[in-house]
Amino acid sequence: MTPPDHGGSRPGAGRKPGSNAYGEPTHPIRIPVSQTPTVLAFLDAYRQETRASHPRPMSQDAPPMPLTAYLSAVPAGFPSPAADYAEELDLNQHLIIQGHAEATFILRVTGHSMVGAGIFDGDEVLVDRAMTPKEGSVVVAIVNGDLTIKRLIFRAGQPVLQAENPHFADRTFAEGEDLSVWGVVTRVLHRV
Amino acid sequence: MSRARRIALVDVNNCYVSCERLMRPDLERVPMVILSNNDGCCVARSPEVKALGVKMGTPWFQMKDLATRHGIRAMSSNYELYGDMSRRFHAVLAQWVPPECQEIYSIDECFLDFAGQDSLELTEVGQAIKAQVQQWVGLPVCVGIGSTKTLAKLANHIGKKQPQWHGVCDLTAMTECQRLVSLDGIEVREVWGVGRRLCVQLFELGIKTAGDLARSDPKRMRERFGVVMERTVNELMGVSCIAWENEPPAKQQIVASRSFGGPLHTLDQLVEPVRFHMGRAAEKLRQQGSIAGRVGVIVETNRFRPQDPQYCPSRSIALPAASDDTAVLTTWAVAVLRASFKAGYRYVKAGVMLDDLRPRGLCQGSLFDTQPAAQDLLREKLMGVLDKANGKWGRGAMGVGVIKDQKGWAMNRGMLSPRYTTCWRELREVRA
Repeated sequence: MTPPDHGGSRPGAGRKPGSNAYGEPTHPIRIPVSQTPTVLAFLDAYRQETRASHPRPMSQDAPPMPLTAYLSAVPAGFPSPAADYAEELDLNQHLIIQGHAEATFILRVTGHSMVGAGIFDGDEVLVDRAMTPKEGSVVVAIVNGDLTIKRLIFRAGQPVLQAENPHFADRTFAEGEDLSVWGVVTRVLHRV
Repeated sequence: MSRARRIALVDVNNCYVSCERLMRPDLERVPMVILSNNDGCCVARSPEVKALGVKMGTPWFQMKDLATRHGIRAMSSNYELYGDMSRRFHAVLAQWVPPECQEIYSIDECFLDFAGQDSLELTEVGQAIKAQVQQWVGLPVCVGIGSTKTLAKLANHIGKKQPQWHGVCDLTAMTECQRLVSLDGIEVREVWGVGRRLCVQLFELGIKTAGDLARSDPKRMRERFGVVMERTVNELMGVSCIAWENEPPAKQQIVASRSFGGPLHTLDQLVEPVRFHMGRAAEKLRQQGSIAGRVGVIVETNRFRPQDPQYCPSRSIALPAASDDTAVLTTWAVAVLRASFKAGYRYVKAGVMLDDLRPRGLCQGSLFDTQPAAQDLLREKLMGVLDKANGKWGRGAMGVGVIKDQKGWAMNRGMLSPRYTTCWRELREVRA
């Protein structure tokens, strides 16, 4: 009897270990249908090269972050020629729209629906209530009494809250249903 | 001809409730109250709760049945949140007038003087302010405009209570006659400076409305009630008598008191909160550059437990020399406490008072001074270090005496919302 010349395992055949999208071994699991978008979104975010780690909060009592742009030691008895040019960068001034400080709030993002806009789970966003939302603004909106962050677009004259992640559905508004915008997102603070 | 003065009072509606609702839109129509220190009494009520007839200051435990029936939510006072929102509110208003024309009257009230801006139509301006504050900081406000502070306050009340004004009432846009008709529609107790007791006496004279009071003779009112009432009547007639205050005036008395989380019984227990409060009071005293000539202490039992024996002494002592030294003031406060303490009561509150305040420069040496001047300088430095340390590490970080355990008497804030706007770890979350 001759041994079978087909079937069975062959060395070097099949997908190479670690050749999937994640670069590490994977295994199948069961997930609840309702949580599919969240899990898919998480995996999408996980695949991204620059992915969100858990940002630690900035020190609570940090002063308004002056960064010295020009600094030089003063030689004894000889004034530095740069002394007159010493200036500082102020992050508050850079991040907050001038004159809008009292209308600017910082909120923390939870969830994955805005990864396409570069807003990740755990990021902080600067929200300006003094700005009027426009078509295409990323906004914080009040939906069912909760705050949600989405892109505001208009379809056939009706406002739509659009997720920046294909796994999340858009939120449309029926005739007579009001959309309430809490503020306009101007910046995202993302820890790398 | 120059116009009569025009002063606006901008006031946040149900301020604390509105602050909480900005961060919690789901509570928008939920009946809710904000409770005072130790979750004792209502200090703010939502319109739904006001409609149920709950009065300001009602103790929470007395309204628990009502709360269950109507689903009233209670929250502890979140001073960090309200303080930050108040700062934002006043900053938005600062855009409307020059700095010297803004008077920050309280956490949720602000006077604006529109002197020199005669061409402005103030009802429109009031509506614009209302819309801007609503959009920028999410707080609903009412605006009252009058030719004096008292009239501005009254106008604010009218704007708030009578819906046809849409939150903005300008008494200066009315004729004299229209104004008096408006004032006739307001009960006299709503007039600034007319308290409950005065109200009863005014009723006896047949003065029932703000209009009645405005028509009374200021000289006769002075004879009967004193100079403050004369001022009020003049103000109602459009004669400005209450000074504009850009900076809060130095306080004539400093009080620091708080009720405890639970009852205390012994002198040793009471000494700790008294020392702690004196630490805070003395810091305030130094901030305003004053010295105190009199130190007082109060302790109180629970007046809401009539079954308990009650004892609420309030005693004070004149100091041999006025001082702003925490250690000196604390020593005297503890001495006063010892003198007034009696065993056998459940104490629920303690506090200290600093009276007979005067500017620091006017310190008069005493015949019995024990300390030479040089040592005073050292003490002054020490107090500077104390204030800096407490500024950096928080109230009560450094003080006189040992504070073993704040738990027994520290505030209860059991239903406290997060410090959404002032603490990185407690930021409001937004779903993505």
